[in-house]
Amino acid sequence: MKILKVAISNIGPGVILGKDVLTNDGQVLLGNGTTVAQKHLDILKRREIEEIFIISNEDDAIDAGNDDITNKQEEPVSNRSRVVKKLERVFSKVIDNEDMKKLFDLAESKAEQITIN
Amino acid sequence: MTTPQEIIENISELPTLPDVVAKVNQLVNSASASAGDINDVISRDIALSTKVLKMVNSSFYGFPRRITSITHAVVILGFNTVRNLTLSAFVFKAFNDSKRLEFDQKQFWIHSIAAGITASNIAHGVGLSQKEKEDAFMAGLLHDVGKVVMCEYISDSTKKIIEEVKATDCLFYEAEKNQLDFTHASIGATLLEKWNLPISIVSLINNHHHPMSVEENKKMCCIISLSDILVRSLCLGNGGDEKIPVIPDGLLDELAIGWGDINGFMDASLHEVKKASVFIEMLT
Ligand SMILES: [Fe+2]
Ligand SMILES: [Fe+2]
Repeated sequence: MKILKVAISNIGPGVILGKDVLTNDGQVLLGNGTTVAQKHLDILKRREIEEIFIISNEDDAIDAGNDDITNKQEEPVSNRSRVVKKLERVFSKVIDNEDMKKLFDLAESKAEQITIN
Repeated sequence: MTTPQEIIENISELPTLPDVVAKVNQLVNSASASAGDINDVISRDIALSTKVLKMVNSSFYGFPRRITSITHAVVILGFNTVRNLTLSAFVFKAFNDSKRLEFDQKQFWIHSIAAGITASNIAHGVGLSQKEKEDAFMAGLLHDVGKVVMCEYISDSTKKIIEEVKATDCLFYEAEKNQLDFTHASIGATLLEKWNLPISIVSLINNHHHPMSVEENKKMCCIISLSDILVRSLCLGNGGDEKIPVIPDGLLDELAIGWGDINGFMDASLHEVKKASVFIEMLT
């Protein structure tokens, strides 16, 4: 059994999650072991989550050409990058506005002091 | 068609402003009241006295020596601040047990408190009076209170609004405009009017999403609107959606502030909201 990182666009319903899927603010959206249904895929797409970890058997056909991470330790996601990701999402519809771009830059410069729950 | 007035009138179990809070409010608005008069009213309500003293002695105000009497608190803090404390204590309590809240209650109050603190700082920064600074705090704190009323009393419509917010990733205010004839702003204003809050505060709540179209009190209205935007940019709490409105055209000119000022307001908010945890504690 392997855990594979795959793009959402490469899978369909029925695959089993090999890791928790987290929201931008670190809450568990879908737990490890969940059998992914279409409604889950819809949620993931809506949340703009592009990749997930799934369980795959050795002889499983699913191979999206992604890296095998079975024995690799995942880099801890820093608070800063979580905050920047969240800010990008909050500002996504208004970033073309000149003032809002300035506000985004200011907020981003303070990312270290910002906490998200 | 339902109006905010009809909704507020039809809610029989709507929390009413307790006598003690109404009296304090009245005293603060009258020219002849003394600190002793306010002490007489508040001291009769032990739970309220305790809360006011707890707030006064919190790190948020940071007085070096412990304040143990309401009279002392009134003299030091001023009438308006005590009125604000009394009201805050009541509002938190009134909606504390709200089980139907469609969004995270704690995050919602952090959003509200952060907006209050930010509004108060901006009012100070642009040179408004002490009274306006306190009104700004109150209006910031209560700007979205209409959302709580909606979750509690028109929960079906509000559920649909939240669904739209989630499905299309839009502002609460936008989904609301699609689905209802009124907004959380007018609901909140109607409630506060019923509680006899000063009209200067009520109108700020009513107009906090379109500050540039008001004639009176425009500066204050701009302050509340900007505070809501700044706290969203700092991810301080959550007011029911994951988006941020644009700063209305002309708002910065109206307040005569630039990006250096905004930077300062943002730093102050980040710093002070952390200290304001006592307000959050009152939720529990
Ligand atoms: Fe609002
Ligand atoms: Fe808000």
